[in-house]
Amino acid sequence: MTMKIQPMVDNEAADPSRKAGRQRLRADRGSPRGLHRHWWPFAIPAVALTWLFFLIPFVLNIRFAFTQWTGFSDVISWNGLKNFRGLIDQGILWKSIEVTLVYAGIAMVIQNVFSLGMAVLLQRTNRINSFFRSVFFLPVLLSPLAAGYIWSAILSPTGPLNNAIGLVFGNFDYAWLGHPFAALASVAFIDAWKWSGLVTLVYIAGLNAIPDSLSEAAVIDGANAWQRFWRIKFRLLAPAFTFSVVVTFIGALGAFDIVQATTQGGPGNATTVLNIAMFSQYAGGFFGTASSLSLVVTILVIALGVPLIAFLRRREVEA
Amino acid sequence: MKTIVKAAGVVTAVALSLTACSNPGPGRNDGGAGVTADGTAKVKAKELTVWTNAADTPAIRDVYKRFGDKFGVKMNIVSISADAYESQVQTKWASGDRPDILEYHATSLFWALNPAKNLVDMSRMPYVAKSGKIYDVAGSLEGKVYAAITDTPALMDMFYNKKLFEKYGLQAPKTYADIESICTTLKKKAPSVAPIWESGGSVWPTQILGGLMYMGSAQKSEDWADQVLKKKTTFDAPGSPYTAALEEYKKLHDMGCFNKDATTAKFEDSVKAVSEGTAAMVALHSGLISMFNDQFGGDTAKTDATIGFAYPSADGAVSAWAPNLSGTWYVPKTGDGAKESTALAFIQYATGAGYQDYVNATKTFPVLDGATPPTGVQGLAQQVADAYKDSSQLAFNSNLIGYNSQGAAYLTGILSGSETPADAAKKSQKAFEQAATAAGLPGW
Repeated sequence: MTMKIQPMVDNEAADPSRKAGRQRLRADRGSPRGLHRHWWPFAIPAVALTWLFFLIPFVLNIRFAFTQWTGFSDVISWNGLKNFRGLIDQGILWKSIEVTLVYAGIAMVIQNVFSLGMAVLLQRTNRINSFFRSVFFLPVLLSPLAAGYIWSAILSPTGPLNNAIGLVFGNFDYAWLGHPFAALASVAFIDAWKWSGLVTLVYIAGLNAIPDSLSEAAVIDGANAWQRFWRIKFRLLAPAFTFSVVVTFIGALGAFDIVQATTQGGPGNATTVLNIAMFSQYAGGFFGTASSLSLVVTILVIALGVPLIAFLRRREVEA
Repeated sequence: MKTIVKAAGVVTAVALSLTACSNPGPGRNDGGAGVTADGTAKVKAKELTVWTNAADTPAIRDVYKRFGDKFGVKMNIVSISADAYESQVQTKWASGDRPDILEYHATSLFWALNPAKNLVDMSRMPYVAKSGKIYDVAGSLEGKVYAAITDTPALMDMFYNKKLFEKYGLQAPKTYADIESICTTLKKKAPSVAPIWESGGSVWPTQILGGLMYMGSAQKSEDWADQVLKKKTTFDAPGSPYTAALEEYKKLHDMGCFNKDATTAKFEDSVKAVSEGTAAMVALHSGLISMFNDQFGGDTAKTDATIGFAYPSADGAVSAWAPNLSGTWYVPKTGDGAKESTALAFIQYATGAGYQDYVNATKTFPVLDGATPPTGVQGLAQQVADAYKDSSQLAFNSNLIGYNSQGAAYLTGILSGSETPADAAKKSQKAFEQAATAAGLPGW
C-alpha cells in the first residue's frame, strides 16, 4: 500500500460553495461593525473575575510587600525594602527560592517523563488501558493533604517502602524525609505522583491527535520505533508538551499543602518552599513579610513562566 | 472598551485608597460596647460563638456546656485544627472576623492580636487577684491583663521509664551531664533501648530538649529572656547559654542518644516507646499525661508505676513552665454589648462558680486561690505539681516573639545536619530582632 500526502490547498478556492456559505453566515450575523459592538457583554464575567480575584489582589499585594504590616499594630507604614532585607538576613529568602526552584524542577521533570511514558503505553483505547488510565488518575482526585499524610507513612524508616527494599537488600531504615536533599526530592516526587495522571491524559490526547498516516509513512521510509517516536510523535506533541511543562512547573512553584502535610518545611529549612515560609510569617502575625514572600512567588511565576512559554511556543512553530 | 478600562481603573484606585492606610484586621474599630469588666457582667445574649482548639479535652468543652445549660445560652463552638491553630486564628482575625470568646495562647503569640485595640481589658476581673503572679509574665501586655488562665501550667520536661531506670541502676536526671551519663550507660548495658526519644517529624517537641529544659538554669540565675528583651544580651553573644543549649543538643545527637528515626519520628510514637520501654526518656509537655494513661488502658496506677517525671536543666533541676492554650480565654471586642457582657459572664463563671467542677474534671491543681485541689490525683500528675512548686521558671521562649515560631525548625536543622548551633543562634537573634522591631516592643 502506498500513500500520497495531499498538498495543502485553499479550501474555498477548491470549493466555491463554501465561500458562498460563509458570506451568508456573515450576513446573518450582521455587519462587522455590529460584531464589535456586541462581543463585550460575553467577556464581562471573565474580565470581572480576573480583576476581582487576580489583578486587584495582586496590585494590592505589591504595596503591602513594602510595608510594615503586623498584627501587633493597627498602623500600616511604608518601609521600602526592609521586609526583603529582613528575610535575607534571616536566611529565608534565597534559601526558600532555591528550595522552590529545585522542588519545581524535580516535580516537572518526573511528571513529564513519567506521564509521557505512560501516555505512550496507554495511548490505544481498550479495556485494559482504560482501567490503568483510571488507576493512574486516582491520585489527582485525592486531597493533597491526604496524599502527603499517606506518603509520609509510606516513607517512614519503618514504612512499607523500606520494608520492600529490605526484602532485597536486608535491613533498610533510611529516613527519606529526614535528610535535607532526600526530603526535598521525596516531597517533589509526591507532587509529581499526585498530578501525573492528569498530565498523562494531556499527552494521550496529544498523541491521539497525530495522524496515523505519518507513522505509517515513516515505517515505509524505514524508521524504527524510537525514530518514529522521537522524530515524529514527540515533535508533533509540542503543544501538549508546552502545556504540560508549563503547568507542572508553574504549579509546583506554588507548592504548599503536600509539603505541609509531610515535612512542614523541615528538616531545618530543607523543604521550606516560598509558600511554607509565607505561611510561617503569616502565622506569627507578620503580614508585611508574608506579602513580600507572596510577591516573590508571583515574580518567579512571571519571570520564569513567560520565557518558558515563549521558548516552548517557538519550538512548536519549529516542530 | 475605553470605558471598561476606565471603570476598572477607578475600581482599582478606590480599592487601593480604601486599603492604603489601614490594617484590615487590627484596624477594626472598637465596638465601644461600654461593658464593664469588673466581675459584674450579666448574661444578656442568647448565643455566643467560641473559637476553640480541636485538641481540647472534654473537661474544657464541658465548661461551655455547663455555662450554656445554666444560663440558657447557645454556645456555638468553632473547633479549629490544632495543627495550624495560630495561623488559622490569625487568618480569620486579620480579615476582621471575631468570636465572642477566644481560646488562645497566653504567651507573646497573643500580642499579634493587637490586644489594646481588639481585646477587652480584664485587669479588674476578680480572678486576676486570685491568680498569684502569673499575669506578671503571661496573658498580659503593658500592664493590662487580657487573658483568663484557668488550667495548670504545662511543664516542658522529661518523662522516663522507671522500670528501665531501676533495672540499670539509674537515677532521674537533674542536669544535662546526668542525661549524658544515663545515655552512655544505656548504650552499653541496653543497646536495643533508645536512651532518648526525639520526635523531629512533629517538629515542636525538639525545642524542649534542645532549649527549654537546658535554659531553665539561665532563666533562674539571670532571667536570660528578659535580658534579651531589654537588649542586654543576645542569642548569639559569646558564652550564650542558648548557643550552649544547641551545642548540648547536638552533642547528645552525635553521641547516638536518640532513636534512629529522630528526624522523622512523631511524638505520639514517643509516648508508646517510653511506656513499652523501647525508649528510656522523652522530653514532652506535662499536658500529655493522659496519653501515657491511654497506653496503660486508662489504668493510672500502672502509669504511675512505670512512668516518672524529671526536670533537668543545664546545671540543676529547674522545670520550664508555660501557660496552657487549653482553658486560656480572651473576650474580643465585637461591638455587640450584649454578647460582650455575656462573654464576660462566661469568664466570671469559668473562674468562679464553675471553676471547682472544672478542677475536679481535669484532676489538675487549681491555679486560682479558693478552689480545693481535686481528690484522687494520680501520682504522675502530683510529681508534675511538685516540680512546679519546687523549682520552676517561665519557659525562656514564651515572650521572645519571632523566635518562638522558628526555634523548633532550627533544631530539626541541627538534627538533620543542615544547621550548626552557631548559625542557628545567629538566625534566632535576627528573627527576634526583626519581630521585636516590627511589633514595636518597648525599646525596639
